Amino acid sequence: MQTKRYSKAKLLVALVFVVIGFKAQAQEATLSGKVTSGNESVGFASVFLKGTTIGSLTEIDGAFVIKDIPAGTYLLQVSAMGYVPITDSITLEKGQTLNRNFSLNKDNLNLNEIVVSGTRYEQDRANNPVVVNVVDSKLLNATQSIAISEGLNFQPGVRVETNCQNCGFTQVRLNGLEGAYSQILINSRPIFSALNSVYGLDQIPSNIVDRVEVVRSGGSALYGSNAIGGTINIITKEPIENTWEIQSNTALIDGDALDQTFNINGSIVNERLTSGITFYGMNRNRDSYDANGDGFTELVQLENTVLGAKAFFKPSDRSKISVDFSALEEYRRGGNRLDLAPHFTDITEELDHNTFFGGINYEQWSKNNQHKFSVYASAQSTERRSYYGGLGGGRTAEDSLLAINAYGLTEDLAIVAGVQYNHYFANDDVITIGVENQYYDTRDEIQGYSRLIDQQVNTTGLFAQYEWRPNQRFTALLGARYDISNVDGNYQIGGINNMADVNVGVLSPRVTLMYSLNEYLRFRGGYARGFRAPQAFNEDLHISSVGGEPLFVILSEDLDKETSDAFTASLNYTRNIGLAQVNFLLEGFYTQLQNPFTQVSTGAVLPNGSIIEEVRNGEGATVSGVNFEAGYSPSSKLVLQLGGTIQQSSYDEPQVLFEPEGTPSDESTVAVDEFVRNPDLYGYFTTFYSFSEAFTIDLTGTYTGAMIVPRVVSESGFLDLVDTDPFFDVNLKASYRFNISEDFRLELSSGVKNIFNSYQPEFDTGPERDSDFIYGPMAPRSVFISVKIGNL
Amino acid sequence: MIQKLFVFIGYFLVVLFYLCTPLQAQEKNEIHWLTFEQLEDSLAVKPKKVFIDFYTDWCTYCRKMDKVVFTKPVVIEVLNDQYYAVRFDAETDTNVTFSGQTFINNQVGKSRSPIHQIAQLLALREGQFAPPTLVILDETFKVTARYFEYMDSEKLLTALE
Repeated sequence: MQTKRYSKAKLLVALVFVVIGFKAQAQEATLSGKVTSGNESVGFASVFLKGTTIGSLTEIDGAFVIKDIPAGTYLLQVSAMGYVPITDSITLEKGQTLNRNFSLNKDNLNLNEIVVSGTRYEQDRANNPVVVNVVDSKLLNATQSIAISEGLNFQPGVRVETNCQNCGFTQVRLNGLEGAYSQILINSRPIFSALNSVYGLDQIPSNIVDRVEVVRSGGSALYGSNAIGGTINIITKEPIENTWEIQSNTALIDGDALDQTFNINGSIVNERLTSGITFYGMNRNRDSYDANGDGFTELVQLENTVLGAKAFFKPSDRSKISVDFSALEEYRRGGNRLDLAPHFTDITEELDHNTFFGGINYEQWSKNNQHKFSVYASAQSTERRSYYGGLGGGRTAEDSLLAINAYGLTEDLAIVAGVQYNHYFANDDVITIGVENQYYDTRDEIQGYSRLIDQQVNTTGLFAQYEWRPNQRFTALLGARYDISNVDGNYQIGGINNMADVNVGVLSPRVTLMYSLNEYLRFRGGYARGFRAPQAFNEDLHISSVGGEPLFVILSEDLDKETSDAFTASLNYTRNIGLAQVNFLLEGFYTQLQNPFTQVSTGAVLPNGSIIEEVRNGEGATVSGVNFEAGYSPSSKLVLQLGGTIQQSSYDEPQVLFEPEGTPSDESTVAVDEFVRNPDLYGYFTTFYSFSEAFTIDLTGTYTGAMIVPRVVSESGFLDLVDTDPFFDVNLKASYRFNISEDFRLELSSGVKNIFNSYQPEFDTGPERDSDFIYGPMAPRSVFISVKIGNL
Repeated sequence: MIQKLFVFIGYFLVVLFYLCTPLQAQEKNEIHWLTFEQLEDSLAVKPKKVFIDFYTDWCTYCRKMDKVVFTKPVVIEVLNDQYYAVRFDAETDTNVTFSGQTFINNQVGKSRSPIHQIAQLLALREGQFAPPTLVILDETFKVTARYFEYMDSEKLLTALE
């Protein structure tokens, strides 16, 4: 045997070292030691002096010796695959032999995923100064989330609620603040407009989503002035392989209403990975659901079709152009007698959305990778045909006339364009500067009610941020944005005609600090300022019904901007012990709102019976609380996660929600001293268990604590404040995967959502009900079965 | 209208993948992948340059190379004629005996991505393993080049020539 020629592991190591560039130095100092992790020694770990070519690999028993080191002070890096690298400073004197041992920690729990949200350029999540939580496709899958809105509940500080029985409008609350305090982004771009954030989260199919990043509180300066509750960034999948997948999901809600979804997606990427395209499509049909048999829907009928594509092209290794298109058609209808034309029913809310979206993004890196320049633009156009109204229980000629005039048309255009530049310094500091212009044009008209919202909002934002890393333990994110908002609005209802012509410029500073107390424990703290220009937001475009009459929201004439200050501080502990991973997060938040926009029922009723609510600058308010999250995973077979929020909200002075108009009656002023529809305690848990590669079981759930929900009890809009009971919504899913061939897989899954049928016990009934009196889990118990085929 | 377009795209994709699949199946010509044990015997009989592909089963770039690069007739020809080609799962738990030594995966049960000793020896860059890692060695089994990224056939052929 010629073993001598190419034998001996030592020889191999030596040869590899020649390639890596290990060079012999003049005999100076020697460093030796052992690398371990827990009780295990770590073999083949690399021990290197940063900025030099001096280093060594450890033996199988973890021992290493580095000879011939010139005297001096060095940064030593110890790293091994699957472990969190550590760096340490050492000083070596001439002729010295130093013995140092190192202990490495395993790296797990998605900690080394790259997240974009915190800073808008790629960096390690663990070193990210802003706490970013990730909802990945695994979680969306485990919770059988058809739309993204269903999966978001499984994050601390996030709560998705349904706001209307007639139209199924949902909103996402972050840190207890309403949806309008959150910024929703797709691939880091703010293309959600006033209209689309109402229904938009139901319209994005979860099968195109790679992950959803949630940043609570103000955090980064880069994401818009209204991101005070937080930012939700939806990142779509980046294709590499040629793939296809078809999925069908059938659910039966409370043994009654069928919810059928069909999904398809595929991608094609060329061999050089320089161009590719991803297609996706979804079709969903959900029957309406009536919980109490009064003939009026609790869940609306839904028909939703989405078709989209995302393509990219790389002209060179340092540049990339990507283009996005999607078309979306959504029909929803709630109320009663869905078989009749809307104006023959008592109550109907019917919405038919047609949305087209297009976007383009260009990125260019400099040769030395120190400069990155990007330009982007996107546009979204929506046409919405609506019907909000009905006979409202009456059958007079007047009722009929009003009912037939309740058809409306909404046109919405959103254009966002921006330029951004990053400079990366050699010491890991980063400067980001940019300009972004957002233009939203919304026109919502229902002639029958003389209702018009015609609003143009243009916001130019300038932002700059410096990420400062003076040493390995400390990072500071110092930034500010200056937004110039111009609102030109015309708001009419009945005889009321309010105009807005507002020009405001507001500076919003943002600061976030991170300090590593030790290798497991990180402290973060931050301050952010935010503001909202006086304008109609999504909830103001929605019309609910009360007492058989439509309820309109109108902006008061002298509405002023609202500002907010958000403080946050957190401790994050992550540790890997052998195969096990542990993480713990405790995050306190304190948010102060000044002049918050508040809907007040003034008791005003139009001649045709419609009820008016006015948006006014309400009382100052404070929301404070604690988000917590604890995770434990003994091995990749089992992952346990539990999280939630304990919070309290208070108005500085009692906030009036209803104020009787004119003659005194037995209806008195209704005021609250805390936020309504806002539980003090809410949370979630997720459990994934894999019996084998093929068979997995997921048990997930959410808890919604007691809260106060207003309920309109008279035609004037007078309110009753209802104390609700807590809800515990638990889902169980089992799935089995068959690898039929290398290029063909089949996955069957089935389960029950809301096993304990924890659902709102009592709804208003009949045509005169308050359609906004809906709270708690989105749907009652439902069983589902899903079939997925694909080549991966 | 959108619904019709949607159905059309569905058909389009199905037809497209139907057309793609048989093409690959027809290619009888394949790379003669060796194990390390087979490599040792082969080198003993006839020295030749060696190409090693370190992959893992979760690595999408590796799968992409398997499907589109290692199936190209020119790539197959060069690898089969001028090289001994080895394909090695860096996370395998099987023991490998090579030049009188037994290499094991000592990280199994300790790390969630356990890297086999052979891969630790040949395929790490600054202590990290990031598949795909492609290693080229000369006739004396000396490393001449290592690539730590996906390579299309053009780049790979340049590296192999």
